[in-house]
Amino acid sequence: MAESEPFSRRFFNALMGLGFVGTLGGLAGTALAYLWPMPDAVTTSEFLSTTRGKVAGAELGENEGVVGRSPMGKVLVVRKDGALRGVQATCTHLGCTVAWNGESGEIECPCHGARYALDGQVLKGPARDPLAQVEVREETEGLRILGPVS
Amino acid sequence: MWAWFDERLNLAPLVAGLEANLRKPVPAHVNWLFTLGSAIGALIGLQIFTGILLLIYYRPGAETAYQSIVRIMDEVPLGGFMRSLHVWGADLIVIFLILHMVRVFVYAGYKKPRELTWIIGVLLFSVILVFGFTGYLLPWDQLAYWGTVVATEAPASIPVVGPFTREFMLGGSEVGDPTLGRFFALHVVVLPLVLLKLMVLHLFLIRYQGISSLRRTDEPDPTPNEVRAEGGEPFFPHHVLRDLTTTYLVLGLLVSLAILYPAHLGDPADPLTTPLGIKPEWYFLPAYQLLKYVPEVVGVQIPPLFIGVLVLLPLLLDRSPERHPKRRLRAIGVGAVVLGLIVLLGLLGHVSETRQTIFGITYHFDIQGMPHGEVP
Amino acid sequence: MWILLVLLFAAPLFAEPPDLEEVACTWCHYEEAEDFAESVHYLQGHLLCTDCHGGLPFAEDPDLAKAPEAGFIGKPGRADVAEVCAQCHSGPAGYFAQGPHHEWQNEANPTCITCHRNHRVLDASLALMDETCSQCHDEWSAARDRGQKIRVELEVGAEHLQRVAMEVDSLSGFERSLQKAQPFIEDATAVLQSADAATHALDVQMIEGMVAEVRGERGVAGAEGVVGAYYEKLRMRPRIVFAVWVFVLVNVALFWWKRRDLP
Repeated sequence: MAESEPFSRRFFNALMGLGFVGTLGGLAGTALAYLWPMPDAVTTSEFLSTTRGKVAGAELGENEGVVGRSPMGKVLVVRKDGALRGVQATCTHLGCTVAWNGESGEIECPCHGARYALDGQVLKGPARDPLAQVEVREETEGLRILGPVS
Repeated sequence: MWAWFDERLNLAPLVAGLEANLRKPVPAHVNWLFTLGSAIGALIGLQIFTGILLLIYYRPGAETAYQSIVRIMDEVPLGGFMRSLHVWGADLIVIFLILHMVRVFVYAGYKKPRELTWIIGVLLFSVILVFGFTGYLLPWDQLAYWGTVVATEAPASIPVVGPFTREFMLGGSEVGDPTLGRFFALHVVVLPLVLLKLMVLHLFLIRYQGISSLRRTDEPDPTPNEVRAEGGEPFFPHHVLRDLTTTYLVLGLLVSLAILYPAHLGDPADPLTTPLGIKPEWYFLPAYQLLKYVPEVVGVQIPPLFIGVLVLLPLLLDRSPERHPKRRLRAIGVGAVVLGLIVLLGLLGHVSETRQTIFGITYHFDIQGMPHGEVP
Repeated sequence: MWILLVLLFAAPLFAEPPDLEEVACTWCHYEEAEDFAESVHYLQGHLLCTDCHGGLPFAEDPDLAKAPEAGFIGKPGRADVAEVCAQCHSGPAGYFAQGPHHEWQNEANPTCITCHRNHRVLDASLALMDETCSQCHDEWSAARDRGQKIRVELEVGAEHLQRVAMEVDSLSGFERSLQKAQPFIEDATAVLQSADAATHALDVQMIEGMVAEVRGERGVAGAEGVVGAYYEKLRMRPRIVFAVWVFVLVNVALFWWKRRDLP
């Protein structure tokens, strides 16, 4: 190898390397764009909804609970002593969806056994943080999720 | 870092051997035509890349396939582009594969001691054709569905086992959901495994045995020094740079085609309505057209026989020791005639049952591909 | 057997309007019947005399046919014309009631049939305004001016919509993304149809507002946006291909240079 103009040759090789990097970058970039997470296909309405549509108030009897989607995410609504109580349905431990146990009168998480009261307070671990309370109003069209309880 | 592996695996001699192999000179006659193989390799790599991306959103099944392709094209960012790359990529692979096989034939690369490389190559060719055949059905639109119906008609005419063979292929009495399932499994798992194994073998043999010289097979091969003296360049980096050039140009061509002529999606498959002018993909047109001239029983055996002929080429058909094209004019002539016939059949298949206007006169081509002047 | 079933279900497609000769009214009122036979009410609507005038169409006894108990109202007076037409055309009738012509007692005012005719009712079109306004209004009058403004406004809106709708239609055949334009076209068409009904109020500002909605962001302009985005995409393609080739050729040039440079 001639040592004349070693800088030019190095610059040259660097340019070629850049070309390779550019090609790989192009491939990776298009793949990244393609794989980018897309907006959810599920649209949320202000009324509690499941895959079967809006939940009707009549479906929810005394001491029964139902989990559905809302603008606040998944929400658990329980009818207790005639009144509707709502809490976030995502367990604060590792994210599983909780359910209402009418017999025990507690909200239970099936994954690791966490227990919450109807106001969201933790009764038994491994969860530490309480479930956020959600305001629910029964209307003719369905169960309107109003937002967090202030 | 390197030392950690080298201590445990004793890589140094391996790497030295590899490097020596890569530095070996290729014969002087090796020109740009010898870069087609690596271009095909790059195209296959891209097919795997786009194929995996498509696989993420594609849903096999008669009910879901079409909609999933619609989603890829309409909703997924660059989805249409990836699909177009995949569709055009398939076409380009077949074109360059044919060119590559012609090059190998002309330069007698299939002769002793490289018969095995050639046979693996023929198998690779068959695998690529089956890739195209199975992939074509996956969008489940009218063209895909009925093209597959037409293409699977032929096996039924094999005596005795024909009808059952066809039903076994289809997974039922007609093209349907079981067919789609089979073709999908083949296209996405079985064929890629077979392809990759064959490719590794093919590439290993080529590097291990080197590119053939143009001397007679009964003469000793030239030593690397002799090759260098005749003007042969090292494989790496000289020939590799040529490979890279062709690869970049071919990929540029592919991207251009995918952007300027994006893949289309027809109407959803309707088993009850056959659209007009259904034909298989262009690389199956020669076989399709042939079946119009000879009885189906005969015609259906010719494509497998053709593959058989290719396999037997170095073993039985052409055992002459000559490699240099100038001294093999008869063999090349026969090959040219065969290729010409295949291309002619393909052209006839393309124009059959269509109207074409040539130099201002409109012709109607009948089912056999014969032109009839239109009565104005 | 199945042919009969097919015919049974396909019958409405091939249905002919009922034979007017069998309608008893026409045996005496043959001039009116002749007119009615050319109307859209008869040919497309398949209506009979009794659908507006009441009564029994096939009763040969005039007393039976024209019995008030059968709903017979005879020839509607000025007050009643709008009510009869409004049975089906409640939209236009409602707008008419807001317009300058709504006082039916004033004999100078038109009723529905003054402009649309009573029996030989043809498809309502903007051209109708040319024929009918001049019956009462002078050519350079303010009333004619108003009508003309409305006519021009609707025509411009309809032409714009039709032009864009045709373009969307022809492009949709081979470009999937154009389907997004369909809702805009549909919305614009719906507003234009209610604008046609609203013509009867003869309110220039109202029509201008409605046509603006037809041509606006949620109508034709929205569709044009989709078409524009497609054409923009088409324009971008050759530029992207050019950029790709520049990149490829630069790399190829580097490989070439490297090769020449090697010993």
